[in-house]
Amino acid sequence: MLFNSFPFLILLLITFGVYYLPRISRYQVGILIISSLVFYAYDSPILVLLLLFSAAINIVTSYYIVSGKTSWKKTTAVIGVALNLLVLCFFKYSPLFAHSFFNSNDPIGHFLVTIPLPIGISFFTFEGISLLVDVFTEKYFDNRKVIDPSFVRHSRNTLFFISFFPHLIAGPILKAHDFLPQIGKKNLRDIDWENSFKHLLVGYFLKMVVADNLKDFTYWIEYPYFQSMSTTTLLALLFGYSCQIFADFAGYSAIAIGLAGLFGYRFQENFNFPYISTSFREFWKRWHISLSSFLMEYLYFPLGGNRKGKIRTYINLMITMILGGLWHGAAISYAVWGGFHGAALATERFISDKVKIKPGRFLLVLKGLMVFCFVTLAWLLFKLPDFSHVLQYLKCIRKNFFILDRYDIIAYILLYSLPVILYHVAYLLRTRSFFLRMAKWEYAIYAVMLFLIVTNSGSTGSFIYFQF
Amino acid sequence: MIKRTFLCFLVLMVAYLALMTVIKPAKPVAQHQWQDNQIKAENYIYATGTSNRNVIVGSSLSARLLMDSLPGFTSLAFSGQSIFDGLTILSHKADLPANVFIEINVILKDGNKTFTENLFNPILYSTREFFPPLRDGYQPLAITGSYLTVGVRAALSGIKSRLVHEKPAPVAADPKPAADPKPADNPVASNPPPVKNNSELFGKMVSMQIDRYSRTPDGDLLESRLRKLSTLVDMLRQRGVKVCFFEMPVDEHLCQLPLSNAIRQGFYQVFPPDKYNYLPQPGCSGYQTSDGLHLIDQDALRYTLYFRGWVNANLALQRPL
Repeated sequence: MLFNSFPFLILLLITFGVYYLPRISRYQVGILIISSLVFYAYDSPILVLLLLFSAAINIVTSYYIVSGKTSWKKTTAVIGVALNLLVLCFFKYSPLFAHSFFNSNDPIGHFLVTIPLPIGISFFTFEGISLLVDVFTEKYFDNRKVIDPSFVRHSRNTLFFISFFPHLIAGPILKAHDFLPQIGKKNLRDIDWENSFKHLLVGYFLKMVVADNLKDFTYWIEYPYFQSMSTTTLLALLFGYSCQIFADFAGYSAIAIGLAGLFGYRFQENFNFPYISTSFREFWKRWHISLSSFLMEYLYFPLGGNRKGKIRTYINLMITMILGGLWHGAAISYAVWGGFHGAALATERFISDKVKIKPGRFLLVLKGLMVFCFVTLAWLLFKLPDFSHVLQYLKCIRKNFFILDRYDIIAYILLYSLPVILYHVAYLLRTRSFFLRMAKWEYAIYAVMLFLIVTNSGSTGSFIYFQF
Repeated sequence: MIKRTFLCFLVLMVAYLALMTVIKPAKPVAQHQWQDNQIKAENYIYATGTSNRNVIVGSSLSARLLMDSLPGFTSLAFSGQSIFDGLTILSHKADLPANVFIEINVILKDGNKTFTENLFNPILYSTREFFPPLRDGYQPLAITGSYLTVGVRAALSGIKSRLVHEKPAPVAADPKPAADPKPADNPVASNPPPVKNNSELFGKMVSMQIDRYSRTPDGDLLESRLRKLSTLVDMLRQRGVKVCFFEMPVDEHLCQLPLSNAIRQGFYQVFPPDKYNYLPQPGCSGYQTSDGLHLIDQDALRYTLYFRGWVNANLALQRPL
């Protein structure tokens, strides 16, 4: 179910109405679970069973980590994490496995290729792992305060944590230590209406006006059609896709945060103006924060982080980013994409270890542009999963200078990318007196966004990150 | 803050609706193919009067027909989509046309639910009916973009000409490109960029299509699509509409390949030529395409005139269609 569909609007209104009914307020968590399962089941009901199975693994193992024998704690945690990864690998990576090791006529290969990819599996599996690691390490909370001693209530809370609909199919990836302590009775008067309203409006604007319109132009980045495009058009398409993927995913995350706020829950921000980053490290602290922080806490640190020498640090960065790339999709191109970012992070770290200079404003701008260009170029691997097509695209950029430009495509891409640019520029200039004076007119900007949602939305498209 | 936002929004909406009512833009602006389809559909859905006597239902192949040369005809041929979208729109209309011409080439592609649901969503339908400026062709940014395109053209041409004084002038991919064509999930139902002047790309596209057309289609899929079409055709005939099938010419190398033949045979079985009207296909040789499937302008005009000539001679459509 899409956040920008009428069935979702109906589900939301019903859930919201029932959720805050005073007489049944003790069933709030149950109401949200039912609503979340309906939300997930809407497109393919059978896959709810997988969601419940995944939740069951985490319910049972986390409960036994807390209340089972101490000597079995570690084994239980390892089994739980392994089961989560097994489920993820089976459903997500079977086709990749089949293409790599079986020919198309082999019955096993054929079976593996036909396994469906359940929507959101990468997100809810990681959330399950986060729960198991958190209760095992007790690094963030005292298990006795957060994990309910009653198995039934623990099951309810865990199922709710994993299935809560705002984050269920495209994140942000919740961490158990952030979410579990929030579970409790919520009141209508406690809602931060303004915060939710702003998140919802910005989210829907980014998705429906920016991303959904851009997608009908960036569609051209498709083999072999891009070969007939001029250099300028190809560059504009690439720029447009970079803005589209940001608007699409940041929009989704903002909607998720706004929706959770309506039910009294707080999600961490998932995007923090990533395109103003002046280093790759900074970019990954601003882009898909819930994933990068998950990878850092649950993969990079356990691998040793930067505590085991420089060479090991570079290797750890590469491993983390390649696995992060593969998390996005079961294709070699995603691993290559992760590898590019890993190499960029390692190179940047190597240079900053060797060269110690305080960059001036000019150098910062240059670095910012470099990071943006690199990141934008790397998005090509998302759009063109075949690496040879990526090379073709780059070749066309070099040689198609004399083909007539598609002025309409360029103009519309610039127009629809403008909000993304202004969004970042406004953040950069937020402390200037002009912007401070403008703050009292903030509502006018939100009104314009609402006006454009009503009058200028693009055709409905699913969110790019649904496929992950 | 929330209240002020809504108030300001209301003011903006009223101002916009008033402005659009006063200005009355002569022509809706389509930014891209999807919107072009949307505008075409909305124009038909909200049209009043009896101007829609003849309707052509098809994919991007028949979207190449030049409607200026077909007076009295309305096109529900949608680029990147299938005949089922046009037929679904017809099934929602209270006043149906006298004659419906159905393209047979792209029968395998199913209708686009998102497209038709958006058109007939009760809230959106009524809003667009009562407030025409809220229809797709009048989006404020689409209109702004059409002006911006002029600026971008001037700026980029200026920069390029300064960069390359003596170099050859930019090469147009086609003298008059099709209206924002683009690929779709199914290459048959798409309207790709004109590539005729790029012989390498043209060759690649045609060989891709030859490869596709050389495979016999899934029999079950073809049967289920034909069954679905049969239901819709029966519905039209029951409501007094005359139906005629036609096949758009494609590259001559594709015309007799297994896919084309299987579709033709499938139609003849479900809709026998002795019981249904078919506009005879003039053969593919001599017709030039931009990518193997879509006729270039010159030949689109030639086929349009052939189509018109045949209809003028046979519009009585003697058979009880």
